[in-house]
Order: sequence, then structure tokens, then C-alpha cells
Amino acid sequence: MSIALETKNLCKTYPGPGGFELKNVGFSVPSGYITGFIGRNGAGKTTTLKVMLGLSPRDSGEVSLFSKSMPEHEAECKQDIGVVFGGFSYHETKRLRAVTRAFKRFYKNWSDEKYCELLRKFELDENKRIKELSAGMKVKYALALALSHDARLLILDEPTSGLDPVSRDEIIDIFREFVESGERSILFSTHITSDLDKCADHIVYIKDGEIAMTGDREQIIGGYRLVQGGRDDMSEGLRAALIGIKETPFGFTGLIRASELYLADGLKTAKADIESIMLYTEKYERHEG
Amino acid sequence: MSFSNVKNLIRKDLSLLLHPTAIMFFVLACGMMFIPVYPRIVGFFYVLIAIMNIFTLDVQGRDHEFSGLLPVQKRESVLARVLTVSLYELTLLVLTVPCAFLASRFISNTGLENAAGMRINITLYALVLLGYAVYNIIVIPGAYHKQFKVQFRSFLGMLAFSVVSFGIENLVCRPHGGKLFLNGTSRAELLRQLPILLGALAVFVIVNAIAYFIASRRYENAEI
Repeated sequence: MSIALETKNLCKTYPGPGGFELKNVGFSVPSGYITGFIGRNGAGKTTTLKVMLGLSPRDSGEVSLFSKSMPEHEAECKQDIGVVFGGFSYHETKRLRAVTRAFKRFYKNWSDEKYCELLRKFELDENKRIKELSAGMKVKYALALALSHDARLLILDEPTSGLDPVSRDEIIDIFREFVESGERSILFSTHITSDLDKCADHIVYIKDGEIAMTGDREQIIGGYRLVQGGRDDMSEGLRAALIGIKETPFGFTGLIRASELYLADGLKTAKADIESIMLYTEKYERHEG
Repeated sequence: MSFSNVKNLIRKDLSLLLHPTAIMFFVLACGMMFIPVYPRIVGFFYVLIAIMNIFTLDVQGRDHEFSGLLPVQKRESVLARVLTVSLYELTLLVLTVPCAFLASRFISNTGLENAAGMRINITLYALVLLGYAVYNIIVIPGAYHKQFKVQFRSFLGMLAFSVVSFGIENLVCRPHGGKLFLNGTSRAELLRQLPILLGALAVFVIVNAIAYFIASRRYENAEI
């Protein structure tokens, strides 16, 4: 499996009160797949992406895109990637036509034909100003730009946030189409986990500036189970094994590693999903002592 | 460093960051050359407002981020911006040259002196170049500072331009002050002023190069 993007030991500190730290962030994005980059707001998703792309200087660590290191090969690497931060919110008073004209000159593989085809497909009017586009249309415009220069990797930061379910579904269909050939990849940051259930093959989960989990989505989901029981069903061994517990006057629900499921023998169990893994790891996290 | 990238970045700046009022300022500056009694520096000052608009539109349009995602190096972005700013300034100077010729001819024919300041001559252009150099060294590195405090830096730059240019103009125009050939318009005086223009041009180029180096270093470490 070839690797489109790889980061190793990325560190970045924002000092001062309310400061933030990225701690040895390392993960890879395999070619031909959609990788979901998840974490709650403020976990470090956008910071990681910005540091990776050179928009924010890093303290230490390595980033390589298609086996070329950044920032040494920055211009070369960026020829092969398309980046969408939220929607397209640059030069909002300008018409799409003007922004595209300024943008396309930088890309060797730009195809006017493909761009026009995408405009038609996404029903975008080039004479409109950026500020006149809806949130969904802005994402589609950013995607049209990225896809028209034949990007091999799309890096998307919260592209579906603020979109209605229909628009989100449309965007996810575009993502699936994009990786269909098996040569192109997507790194897709979001906190809307249901989107990842629909399309992500791999997951990178960041928590408080550290990578908490990374791997194949099915394997990650398969590695955990939800356990449900009454108040009397909780044993000391089970409590110690639960990653997170939500307790009510009537009982509890908790997340447990599949390998420790024997401790919940006889209790009701269910498959975990990305959302429940995040919830029980963050909100209902069990603290020792 | 890719020449093609720098050229495309300048074209990007001109298409996305050119405020329509820039054209009006160029026309105004040219027109003001024909006013018989007028502080000539004022016409050249207007381009600084047009340049401030470049940086303001840059912040409003989040151009730092837009450019940061393009397949270019950060220092290419900075060089392109330095060249765009210089292009504005030099274009204005070049555009006013034919107006200056015409104005000098008509105004001198009427025998009018410029009681409000310097006469139109080569020293005036040298002086404006020096003023622009001072403005650029304040504003360009400031635009790549962490907070991108563009408006404040532009204000400081304009203030510095005014102090330098009006200050020198005052020295040149004082009857018993500086050397009188500096305010002259005869062929011999203009020839004596030529080395001053070349010197000012050299200062302009060197100061812009310094502005570029400071700004690139800052931009490499900036949070975009």
C-alpha cells in the first residue's frame, strides 16, 4: 500500500494562557482511500493540517507528501494536492471567473475542460461572486478547483460542517467518486462522525493534541463493544476494563475493548460506532482513582 | 525561486487586489502636474493609499491563506508583493513623466513659479523615490508581521513618507538653504540633478531588497 501523506512526531506549542500543544502527532494517509481525521472542537485537527501544509511553523517533526518532504519540496508537493478549509472563503467580493483565472495559472495539470464539466455538474455560475454562494456551493467550488488540477490528495478541513444532510450526502458521493480509481486519496477532518461512517476507510483520532487512535475504520470499530447493564451488574473487574462509563439511576452503558468482552459475560452488548467511541473516550472517560 | 511563479503571483495580486480607486489615483496624480501652483509631492502620495488598499484587500480576502495553499514558496509570494508595490510606485512615476514635460513647458511659458513647493524637475522624482523607499521599508515587513497590522503600518509609512519628502522639499525650496540647482529646471541644472535620481533609484532598489529579506524571514515564521 503506497502512502500519500505521512507525518512523524509533529510538535507545535502555542504558549501562554489558553495555549495549546500538538504532541508528537504521527499518522499516514494511504493512497486510494478516504481517511477521516476526527476529534472534538479544539482537539488540534485544524492546527495539524495547517502545520502539515506549512501555514503554521512547526517546532519539530516531519511531513512528507508522496515521499517528498515538506517544506523542502513545498511547491512541488502542492501541485498534487487540493485543500479545502471549510468552504471557499477567499476574495469573497470577486467573481468565480476572476478567482479561477488567478488560481489556474499555478497548476501544470490544470484542465479547463474538466473545470467547465465540474461547474456544470455542480451547477455553479462563474459570474456569481464568492459571497453569493451558499455554504454547500462554496465547498463544491473549492472541490471544482481542486479536481480540475488533477490533485492526487484532497485535504479537507470540516468540509461538511454547516451543510444540510442532502448537501452533505452529495459531497460525500463526490469524495467516493474521487478515490474510485484507487490512486487518489482524501484526508477529511470532521467532527460529524456519521459522515465518516458513510465513507471513511481509515480513521485518525486526535485528542488533546495527541493521536489517540489510528487505523482501519472496521478494525477500530471491531476493537470495541458497548456494554449495557443494571446497577448490580457492575463488577470491579468490569469497571476497571471500561474505557468510559455513562451511569444512570437504573444502570450503566460503557465502552470496552473487544478483547476484554469476557468481563461482560451475560450482559447486553452492541457494536460500537465512531461516535460512541469518541463519546466514551472523551465525555464519559473513566478516570483512575 | 521560480520566475513563472513570481509572475503569476503578481498577476494574481493585480487581478484580485487591485482596488478600482487605484486608477483614479493615477489619473489624479497626472492631472495635478498641470496645476501651476501646487505641492507636487501630494500627487505622488495618493499611490500610497492605493498600496494600502492592496494590503487591506489581502487581509479582507484572506489572501495570505489563499496564496499559502498555492504551489509556490513563501518567499516567492513576498517577492511578488514587493514587486507589485514597486510596480504601482514606478508606474505612477513613469505615467507622470509626459505630464511633467507638458506641464513644465506650459507653466514655464507663462512664467509661473511654484510658490507651493518644488518645481517639476529630476530632483522631485529622486525625492519621491526616497519617500517610497522609506514607506516600503515600514509597510512591507509590517504586512508580514505576526498580527498583520496593515492599517497601522500603512499610517506609519505615510507619515514617514510625508516627513521625509516634505522635509527635503522644504530644504530644497528655502531661498538660502540648499543648493539652488536642486530646484532648477534649466538643461544644465537638470543634468546636474541626474546623479541624484540615479542615487535615489539605487537606494530604492536596496531598501526594497532589505524589505523583501525582512518580510520573507517573518513570513516563514508567521501563523497564516
